[in-house]
Amino acid sequence: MKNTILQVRDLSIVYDTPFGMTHATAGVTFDVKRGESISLVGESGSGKSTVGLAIAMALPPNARIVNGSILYGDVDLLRLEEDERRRYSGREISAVFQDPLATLNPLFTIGEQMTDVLMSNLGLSKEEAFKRAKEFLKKVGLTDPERILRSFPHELSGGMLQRVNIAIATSTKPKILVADEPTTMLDVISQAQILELFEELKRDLDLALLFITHNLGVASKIADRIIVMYAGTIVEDGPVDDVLSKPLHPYTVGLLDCVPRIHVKEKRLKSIPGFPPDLSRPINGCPFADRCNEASDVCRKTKPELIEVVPGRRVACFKYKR
Amino acid sequence: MMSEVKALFTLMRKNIVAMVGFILVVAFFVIGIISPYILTRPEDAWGSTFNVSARYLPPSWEHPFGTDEFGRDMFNRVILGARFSLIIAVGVVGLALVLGVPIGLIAGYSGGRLGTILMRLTDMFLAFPPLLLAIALAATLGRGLANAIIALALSWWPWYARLVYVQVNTVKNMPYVDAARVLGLDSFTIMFRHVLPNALTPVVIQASLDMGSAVLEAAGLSFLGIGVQPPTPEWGLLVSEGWQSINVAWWISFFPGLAIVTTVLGFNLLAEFAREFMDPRLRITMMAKRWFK
Amino acid sequence: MPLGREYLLKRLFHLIFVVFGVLIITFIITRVLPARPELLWAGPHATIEQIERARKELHLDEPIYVQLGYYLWGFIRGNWGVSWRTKTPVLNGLLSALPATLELIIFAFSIATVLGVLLGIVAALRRNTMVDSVIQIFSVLGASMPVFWLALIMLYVFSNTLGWLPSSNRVDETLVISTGFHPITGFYLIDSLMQGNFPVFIDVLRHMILPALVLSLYPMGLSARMTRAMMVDVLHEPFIRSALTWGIPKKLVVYKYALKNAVAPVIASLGLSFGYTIIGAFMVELIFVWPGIGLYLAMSLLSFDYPAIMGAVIIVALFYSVINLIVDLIHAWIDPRLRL
Repeated sequence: MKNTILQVRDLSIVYDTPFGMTHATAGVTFDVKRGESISLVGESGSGKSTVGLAIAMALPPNARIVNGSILYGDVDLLRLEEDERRRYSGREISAVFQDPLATLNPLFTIGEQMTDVLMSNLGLSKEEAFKRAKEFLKKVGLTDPERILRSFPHELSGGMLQRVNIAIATSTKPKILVADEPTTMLDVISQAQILELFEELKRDLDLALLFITHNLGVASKIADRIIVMYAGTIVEDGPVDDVLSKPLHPYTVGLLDCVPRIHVKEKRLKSIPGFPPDLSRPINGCPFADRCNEASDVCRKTKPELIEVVPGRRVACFKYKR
Repeated sequence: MMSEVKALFTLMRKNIVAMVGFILVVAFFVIGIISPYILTRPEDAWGSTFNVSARYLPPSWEHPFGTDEFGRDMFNRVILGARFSLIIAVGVVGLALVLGVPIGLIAGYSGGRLGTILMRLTDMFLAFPPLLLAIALAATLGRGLANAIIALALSWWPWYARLVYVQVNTVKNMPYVDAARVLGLDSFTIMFRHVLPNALTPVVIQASLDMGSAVLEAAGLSFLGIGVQPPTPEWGLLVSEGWQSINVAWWISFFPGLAIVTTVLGFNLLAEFAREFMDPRLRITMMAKRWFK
Repeated sequence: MPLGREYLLKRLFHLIFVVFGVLIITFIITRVLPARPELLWAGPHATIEQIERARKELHLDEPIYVQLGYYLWGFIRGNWGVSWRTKTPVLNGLLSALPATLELIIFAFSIATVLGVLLGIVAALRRNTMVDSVIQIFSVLGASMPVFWLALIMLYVFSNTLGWLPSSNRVDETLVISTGFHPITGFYLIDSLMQGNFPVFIDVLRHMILPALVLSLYPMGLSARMTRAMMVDVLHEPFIRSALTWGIPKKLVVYKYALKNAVAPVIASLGLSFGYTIIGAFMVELIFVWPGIGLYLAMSLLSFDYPAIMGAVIIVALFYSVINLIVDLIHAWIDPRLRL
């Protein structure tokens, strides 16, 4: 347990909207070990981004923590005051987001923004910050760091910008990096390159990576462990190869079934029948119950607990006992 | 649709500013429409009396806003003035829309050469500060209510033309228009069913909220003497009528001006709220308890 | 930061085009629109000979494009007609009134913009609180008040009733004579300082403060509203959230980053704001008898002095176009995406 650096406990978050409350996550619990890379997988609305944002302390203003805690060491990140939070934001925990252009300020050069991050977090002088910025830009595979530092965000391409974002996020050598769908907006080639980059950085910097994606292929490539989420709860998690080759939860099974296979002749694309539940009400019972073809009465009435069926593997389904 | 309206009122209730604006605007419309029928001294309001014994009376129960140099009750005059302001507001904005929207539509939809030429033309008009063109036009066309409306509308239409042009251009490139085209819909249907409603909604909203500014500008023209003429009780004109006697009877200028302020205030408050409501991102933050972490 | 020669040239061409457009439009208004332009030009009290002379002067018997040619030529040569009210050339009258208006407008506009932006920032940072509502109401009130009404009220309260401040003109004539003040640039505040003449300086300020304050309320309200709106907008942008997540302190994020992003569109709107200030200046000058272009125009309107009216309209439009060009240049300097 001394290897564990982050403990998410019973995290329940809602969003206040003019149309009502959206229950984004309900009772999410998991650990992150040092240097571990975890992939948080699920469809839109599964709550995966919310979990990631909560850890990165980047939740939107209308999000409300109803319950739970995120423990980094013995500090609860959710209950920090403004000035204390700064000690961890950027320094210990950092993040890379989905849209590389939108997350950079269009009116300032890359250099200005990078050096500000370094100076604020590490107390470096401007020259030292510049040097370090160049160093990390090279680390992420950008060949002309000086030119990049002088450029404005709109002057660079998507792939380059995402590398810049990654450079900024990792330049403070954080212990945890949350990556919220970082490759979704990129073309396939850039995607592959960025994934490779993440693997390198993981090794180089001994970084714990929380990689959020809806793409199972990406998840399998980048992660040691995979956590599958549905309707705001964790339905299954475990080592990535195990889960993807021998899925336990009916949802995971269905998900993997949906992936088209080139070498198999299929007439119609498979999908899971039904729709995800309405998140404006708290859910009684298993959230997957009405789409599950193995559901029974108990599934609809009581919520299944997330139990460890095999060391390192957890499922939330009444099919399995401890 | 219903959920949109419900959401609108939920947010409005939370926002006092918007509520106040809403009430003021509704009051303006109501008073403007029914005012000729609720006057207690109609002859005073329409300006045809000359009551020597009632000249320059300060505000009292009998004359809440006092009387002017002709002994006319100011309260009645101001109430009737609401009707003229309403006529002007609707007239100016309406006429400006009628002129500007088609031009903007044509320019936006056909794009290319024609679009650029039309917009350059519009730009020429926009080179004049607001109201200046109206002053020049009013001076040329002559005074009076109708000319004032025409002058103001002629100086306003470029705004709407430009707004519509930008909107149409944005909407034209939206994925749902491409989708409609792919589905085989003809240009006409696309234009009326998809492009138009989406492009025009912000324009219509902007125009409704612009009515406050129309009242303000018309009052300015009247004050300078080139808008509405006496004895029409338009608010701006009433203020200028009270100017000469300001030292002996401050109320003649004060209350009509106050009416202008309250009306325009209502529209402006609503405009502020509408702006934030229209942007879906900002709408979310209206519900935030602790703003900006 | 260099703006690039290409960009500057482009803007300059645009300005010339706009000036041309202004002249064409005013030509249409003065010559094409009216049925008998010479009547308007000669004034309401003109004799038959004067009307005939006007007809010749305006070349009304010639085809339109010839008239246009004479019109444009006349403007370039500085022949803007003669004001029959003052019996002096319109251009001279305008130019001599210009410094007074400029001084008033610049003074008022500076106060308006600085205070407006500050208020907008405060309101945005304290959104949905009492402070925000107060500032919002105040700035919206400022943008809802008819300038002429406010000017009258202020004049009545501070000048006529309380007697604290003078009610007309830019400076006390007797003071000018006794201290030997004479204008150099036409900007009395600067001139008096240049001559070390403090009594006149104070006196000019006393005369200017009321009209300037009244004039500043509208643009102040506009700036505050816009700044608040833009700040609120910007504080939601993804790059602000990412900056905070990456550990940049909130103060830096707000005052260095968000502010610049918010101010850029506010600066773009300053041109229009300035336009409103110019129009407001007409009313204020009229009421405070401030000897500027506004007063010139207002008096011309009251006496149907058509050449003077149109002359004033043109000079104001031209000035406005130049201001807009400057504003656009500043905007492009701040926002590099505009420099394409």
